[in-house]
Amino acid sequence: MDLSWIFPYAFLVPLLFVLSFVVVGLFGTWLRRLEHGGWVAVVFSGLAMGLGVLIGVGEMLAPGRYTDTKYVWLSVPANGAGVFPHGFELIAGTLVDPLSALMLIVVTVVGFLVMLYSIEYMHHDRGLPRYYAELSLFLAAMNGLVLSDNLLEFFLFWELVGVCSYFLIGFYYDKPAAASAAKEAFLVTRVGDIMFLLGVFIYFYVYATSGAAGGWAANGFVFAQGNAPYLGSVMGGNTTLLTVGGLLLLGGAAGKSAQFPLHVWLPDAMEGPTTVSALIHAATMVAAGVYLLAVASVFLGFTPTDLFAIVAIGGFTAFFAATEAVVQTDIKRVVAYSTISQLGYMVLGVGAGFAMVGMFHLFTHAFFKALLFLAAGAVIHAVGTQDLFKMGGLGKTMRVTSFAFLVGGLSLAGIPPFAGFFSKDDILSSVYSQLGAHPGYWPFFVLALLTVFLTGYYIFRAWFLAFSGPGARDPGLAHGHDPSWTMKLPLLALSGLAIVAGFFPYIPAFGSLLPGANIPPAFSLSDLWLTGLSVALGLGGILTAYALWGNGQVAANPTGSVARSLHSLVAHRYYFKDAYDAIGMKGVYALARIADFVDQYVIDGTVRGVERAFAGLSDRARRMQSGAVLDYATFVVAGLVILLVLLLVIAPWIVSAWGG
Amino acid sequence: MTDAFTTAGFLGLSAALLGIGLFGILTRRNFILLLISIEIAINSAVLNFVYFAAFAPTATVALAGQSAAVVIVGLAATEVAVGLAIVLALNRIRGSINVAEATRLRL
Repeated sequence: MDLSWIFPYAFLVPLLFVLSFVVVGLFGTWLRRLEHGGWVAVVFSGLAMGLGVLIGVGEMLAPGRYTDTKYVWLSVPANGAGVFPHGFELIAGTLVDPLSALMLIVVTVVGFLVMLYSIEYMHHDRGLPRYYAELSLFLAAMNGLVLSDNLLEFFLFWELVGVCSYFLIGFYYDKPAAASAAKEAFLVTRVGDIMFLLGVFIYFYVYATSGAAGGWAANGFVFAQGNAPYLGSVMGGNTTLLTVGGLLLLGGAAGKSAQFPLHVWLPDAMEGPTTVSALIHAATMVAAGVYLLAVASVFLGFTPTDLFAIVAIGGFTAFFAATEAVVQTDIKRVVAYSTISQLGYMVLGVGAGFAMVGMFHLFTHAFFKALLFLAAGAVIHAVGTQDLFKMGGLGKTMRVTSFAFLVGGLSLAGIPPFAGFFSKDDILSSVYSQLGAHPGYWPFFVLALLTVFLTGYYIFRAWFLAFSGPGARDPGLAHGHDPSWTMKLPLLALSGLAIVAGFFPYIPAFGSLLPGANIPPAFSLSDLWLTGLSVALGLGGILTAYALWGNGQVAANPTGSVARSLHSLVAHRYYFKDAYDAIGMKGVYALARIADFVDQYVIDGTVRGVERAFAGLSDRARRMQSGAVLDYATFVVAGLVILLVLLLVIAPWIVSAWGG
Repeated sequence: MTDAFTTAGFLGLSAALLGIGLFGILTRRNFILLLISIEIAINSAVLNFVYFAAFAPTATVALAGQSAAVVIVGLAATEVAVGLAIVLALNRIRGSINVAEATRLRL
């Protein structure tokens, strides 16, 4: 069956969400029966999911690259001279290829499930039209980003998802913590976005100044196979520019994907509704950074320096975030830190040179992490608190939720046969395969292995605290109950995906979306020991969690002085937030003081000085109008004298001096 | 022209009259004396017109200079008529014709 006829309609996916945004945003208030437009958004996202999955299946059956220029923004013809002798074209279009088809499936499926889940989860909130409209706008932007066929268009949608993230983190805008978290997320990602924009400029410079020499000019400024070697050849032996461009793209990806050192915003972004955390801050938007790196490594190419930086940041972030997850008391924050950690894995995979392996982990992670968030959301919805130490024994009353969280946790911990096992093992073995050629990767490989243990530990610490034991530690807590079908259906669907998604690459058609990320690395005999080791580490983490927190026990905080100071260091998030606050307070405040001084005394001073000068002058002029005839007579005579002097003395002198 | 009338003498007379008139305008406080001073200054100009008309190359040009003198004399008479009307009004309202005190018309 050939489904490629559907590719030209790919642009309809974002457009459906734009429609949903307009309808819900304008008329949501009057659609009371339809959950203030919620059901409208569900229907639209359902349609978009259908289309997205069809496109994905079409791409599986006929893998290839389909581009479609929708709009030419700027076209400079080649004239052989000037700044752009080869000419250039800036366009907006859609690109359907294995990478974008995979992302399209993830975004539309998770988007639909989260929309459906929101119906009950958000039922009691105010501002529902705003919620569904913003969520629709986000999905429109995210799908636009996925289908972008050039860096500039990519960047525009990238900014659009950023601003939607800002809106949705600050959904409870009357809560100071949410408002400031939204601001923080926006500002921190801005640092990365500026780097990304500079990176776009660099790649555009390379494209626009050297186009005709290779394939790029023919393709326009678009993502196309063959650019990567071309870029290398254009620059000859000098790869400095490309290295800098790659590092700048990495900076942009680090901002969006919350990689060290721009990771601080993601845990605070949990102030938004849990649904938003699941969709934007776990499954889709934060993965956009990884998607950018994957796209760039396929179409633009990274230099060895870039790749090492990517490996270093990914590996370190994976471990760093996992240590912070260990001490969290808030169920959502545990999952948030694990998101940062898992994004680190993906970045590590891309950096090791296996973009598809990173994308495979992105794919499985989207399902099991959305599942974990939605399960956590069901718990919060039922008991009304996010504090793990108040919960307990919820497994008896919330069987479905408990099961869903367990599936998500096992997948996260990398226990076979859950989805996370396959993708994580793929990443570990692909990094391992590079150790011979790049000994510098060793420390990050070891950190990634340690992270497996920590992952198993922290996620099961959360599970044991919430679901096991005799009952709630806080007696005042509401008895949990499983949610109704609109919430249960997404949980079960995602549980199913979290169990089976790891096997997808075995299906030959699906495997064509992930060339190179097929199962062999995980099961090749040569590194079977690695698979065994990582599973053992994951199980070890789970058992440690059981020993410390199982059956409703609460482990005491560490007592030794070293351990205690370590605990406090981690609990204070390594003082990164304080450091950034200090930089913000001291540095930015000093800048603001200078700006204020300039404003007060230089700018306002000038304005006021001019005003005073004219006021003084006009006061003098006013005094001249005395009303006495004799004064006026004096002025007349004085004027006459001046005229006479000018005419009879100055003018002849000028004429004689310049020989007129 | 006769020798008694030299150009320098006439111009000097005219300039002296203008000077006397201006001096009077600047120093007199009495409105009537002020008007007289203005008349003197105006007449210095009339004198110039008449004098230079005598040197005119044609009768038409001479006539033009003399006509100008007559027009200015008429103008001066008009000015004095208006001025004296103001003097009378000023005297009736303020009981004084000191121009330095008449400042009520200013803004």
